[in-house]
Amino acid sequence: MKIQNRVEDVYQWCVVYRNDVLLHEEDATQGFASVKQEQVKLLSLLSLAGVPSHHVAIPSCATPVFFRRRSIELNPNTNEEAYKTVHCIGWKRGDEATYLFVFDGSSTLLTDNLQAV
Amino acid sequence: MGAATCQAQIGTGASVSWANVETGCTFNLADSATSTTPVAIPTATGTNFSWLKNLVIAVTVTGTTAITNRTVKMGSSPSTGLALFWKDVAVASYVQAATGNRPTASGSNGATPAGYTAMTTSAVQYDNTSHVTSASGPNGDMAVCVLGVDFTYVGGAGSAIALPNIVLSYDEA
Repeated sequence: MKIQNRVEDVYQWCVVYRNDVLLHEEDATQGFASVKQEQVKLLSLLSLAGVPSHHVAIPSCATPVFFRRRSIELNPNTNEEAYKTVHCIGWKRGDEATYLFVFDGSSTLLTDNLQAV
Repeated sequence: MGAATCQAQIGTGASVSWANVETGCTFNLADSATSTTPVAIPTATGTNFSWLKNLVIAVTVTGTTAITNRTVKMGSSPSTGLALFWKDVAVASYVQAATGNRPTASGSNGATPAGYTAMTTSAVQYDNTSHVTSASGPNGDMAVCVLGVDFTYVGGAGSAIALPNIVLSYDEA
């Protein structure tokens, strides 16, 4: 049996509220649910591994979006599994949205497609 | 704390036990991820199915996050005549894999068993319910999977027939 090591993510999120107070992921007791969403003006992915950080400005009345999309790829034939994580930050407001996907290696994809998530 | 660590697990037994399935998952005629009791290739037009495999995303190291958007897909297409299928089942509705709940064989090639959806190479959501990761064990519903083999399969018999990778994904925030 193999046990996956504790997840070591390349980025941590950080928000800046409109009163310039910061909330770092490590201080959030309930993950991103801890964020006072209506007060966020900047949402960042801060690098923990020497790769570029990323930032998205949150327009007024928009809801900030953050998630890590994780995949576990099972090989039914062998015991070779693979794990991937894509970080996403952005915002949505009515029929508008902006999402920045950050992949391993720090390549990015910016989209305003509401269906992207 | 922060992000959780998760693992793909399989539920087996009359009173369910969860175990790591990342070490391989054999589709067979057994309540097991390792048994090689084979699924028979049809000798005429038709599709035979394996016993079901109760797969979940399980938390192994707890976190302060929540998980949503659980999806399933294949990493590539299977050989002609083979297909994987899934259905969303709540953990509370777990049933032990047995011959009695194996999907009924079909008289048609390429048949999809009742209640199941054919797995594709595009991720399809099977459970979007938000569950916190503060407890270890299954997080969200099971993706109950079965294998179908039909008369068009020409790969021959064996105890190690290659299948596509199964990709379970989820959003954590």
